[in-house]
Amino acid sequence: MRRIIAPIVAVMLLMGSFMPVMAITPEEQLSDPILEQRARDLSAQLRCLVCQNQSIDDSDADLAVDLRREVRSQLSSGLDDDAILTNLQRTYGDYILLKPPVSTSTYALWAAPFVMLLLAGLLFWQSRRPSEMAHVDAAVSMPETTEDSELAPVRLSPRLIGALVAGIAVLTGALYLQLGSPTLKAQPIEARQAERLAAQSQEQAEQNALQERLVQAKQEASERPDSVEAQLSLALAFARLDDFQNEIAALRRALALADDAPVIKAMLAEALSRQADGQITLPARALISEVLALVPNEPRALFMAGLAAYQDEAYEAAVEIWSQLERLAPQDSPWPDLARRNIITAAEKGGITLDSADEEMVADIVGASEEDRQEMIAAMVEGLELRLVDAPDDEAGWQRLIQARRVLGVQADLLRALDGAAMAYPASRDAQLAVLEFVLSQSDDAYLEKGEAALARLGAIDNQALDYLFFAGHIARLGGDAATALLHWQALYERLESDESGFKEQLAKQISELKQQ
Amino acid sequence: MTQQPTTPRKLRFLIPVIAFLGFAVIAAFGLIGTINGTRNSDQLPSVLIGKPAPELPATALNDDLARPLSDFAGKPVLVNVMASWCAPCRAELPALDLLSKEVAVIAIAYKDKQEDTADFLAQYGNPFEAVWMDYDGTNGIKWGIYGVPETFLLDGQGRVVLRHAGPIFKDTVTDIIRPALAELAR
Repeated sequence: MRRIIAPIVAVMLLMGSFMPVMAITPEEQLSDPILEQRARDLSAQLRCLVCQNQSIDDSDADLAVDLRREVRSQLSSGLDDDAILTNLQRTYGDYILLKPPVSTSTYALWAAPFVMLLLAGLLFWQSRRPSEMAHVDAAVSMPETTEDSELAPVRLSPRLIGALVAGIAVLTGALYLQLGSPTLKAQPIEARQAERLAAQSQEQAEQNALQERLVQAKQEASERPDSVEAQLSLALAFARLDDFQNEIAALRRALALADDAPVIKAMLAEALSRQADGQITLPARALISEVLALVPNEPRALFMAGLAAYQDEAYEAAVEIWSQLERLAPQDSPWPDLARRNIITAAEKGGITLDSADEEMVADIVGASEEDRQEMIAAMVEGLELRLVDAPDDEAGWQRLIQARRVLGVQADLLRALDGAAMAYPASRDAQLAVLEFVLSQSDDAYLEKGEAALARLGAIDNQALDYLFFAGHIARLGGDAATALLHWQALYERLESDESGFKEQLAKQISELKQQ
Repeated sequence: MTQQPTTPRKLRFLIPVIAFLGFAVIAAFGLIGTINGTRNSDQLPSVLIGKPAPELPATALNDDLARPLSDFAGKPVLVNVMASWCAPCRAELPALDLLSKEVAVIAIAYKDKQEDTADFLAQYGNPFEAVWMDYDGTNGIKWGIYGVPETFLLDGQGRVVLRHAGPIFKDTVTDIIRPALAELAR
């Protein structure tokens, strides 16, 4: 075996010693052979600063190439070797010299080998003397057989060797557990061949589907050039294919069509960052702050603002922003989850203890005075409303807003929420009925307009439904139009069959009241 | 009498063992520190500190950004050596933008092409008051550049007071640059 390996090793060693010559390319060389030789000699003394202990003569690193060129250009301009070395030393320091100069800061370095040698000699000398004594003692008291081993100047006991080995094993083990990944499973590539092929074909199918979607989206966008939705779905199709350039272009068109809608602006900021491999760029930051100035709780912008802070290593700010996102984004959207995950990462990175941060957040609300607390809640509800006005397609959001407005008890605010939801979902009977019920419960002319609008939407769904007839009568009466009210209620009366709850009777009473007017 | 010499001899053998273990512990800490990024062996002090700043390259990115160092005489200047091909340079732009409100920030585009630098600044934003082109890295050698990004803080007299190798993040701003600026303002 050794016979085979030895020549290979020899060849490899030889190759190694020739290899560095290749670092210099022919075009670098000076035409004057004497100057070139000086350049080579100088290069061999200069450290390739970005390599591990290589001279610039040996290295292919870009900086080494630049430095070699610099050496040659200075040589060509007639400088002597010392001047060139001094010039480079002036900008890069002693470190650029492979052989450090003897100076006050390097005395220890130069002296260290001699000091070590001296110490070793001393130790050796010290260890010889007592062992000779031991040998004499042993010779007196012990049998002859141990004599040879006792002669050795340094001899470690088995116990010590054991301790040493164990110590190293413990140390390396600890290092492995700290730096290695002992829990990582081995996954030989052959065993996963079928799995990999399946994944590949699935990926291909997905890719095809995405391409198809893109074609469709393009078609739609060209058919409806003024449609924001068409541009948005086109942007999405590009985004799925990682074509960020086109995604950004589509989003810009959508943004122009939608009069700078903050939601789309936030999407554009996200796309800009995706194009920059996730880096929140300056233009993206500008967009984010524009969005947040208009809509303080826009979830995408908040998420990105947190990311920007995170990338600035301002982890506390990131945790704060993401906590805000977690609290304020609709719970059925992906944002709270994303925010929570990022909060944990940011807290880890920034060495922030999360429990206390959470406690602070809770304490902010609990510990605040009643007035402050109201203000905080009001601000949150305000934010929710702004967001919904901007992005009305959020049923759960509207429900939460209506609930919050009910609790806060300002009737005008509540009606605004009810009306917003009813307008966002014109096909929802419940949403319209909620507005109408509110208007009737208030019996206030000021709300009549909203009631009429809701009634119209309810009628558009089904103008023969019993509840439509009922509310149409009420709204007409509230508006002072007794004839119309009578018309609707009489129609309702005729359609009511049984009267278990006494409703029909009540209605009859109201009809007769109307007739008297 | 036979027992007497054995005790000191045992102790003597412990000396190299203890020395070795001590060395191993130091090395382990160094290794862990390097891997976790808490210890940065690249951060060599620049020999330029206290010396006049080397010259800027001869050409600028465009006429608007062709402001020489003398334009900023009397005020501190932050010289950022960057490149469009360098990802960390992209990452430090927000921090530089932040700093540009407190101090003049100028750039040396290191081994970069004019159009690439222009594209880079158009896409990621431009916090620089001047951008000079070091096409082949010759100027970088005068500044003692190892790689990009590197940043130098010059005082009002144009002397180098600080060198920071690697990207500038918010904590670099608060922990290193701002204190140095405050020192200069005194």
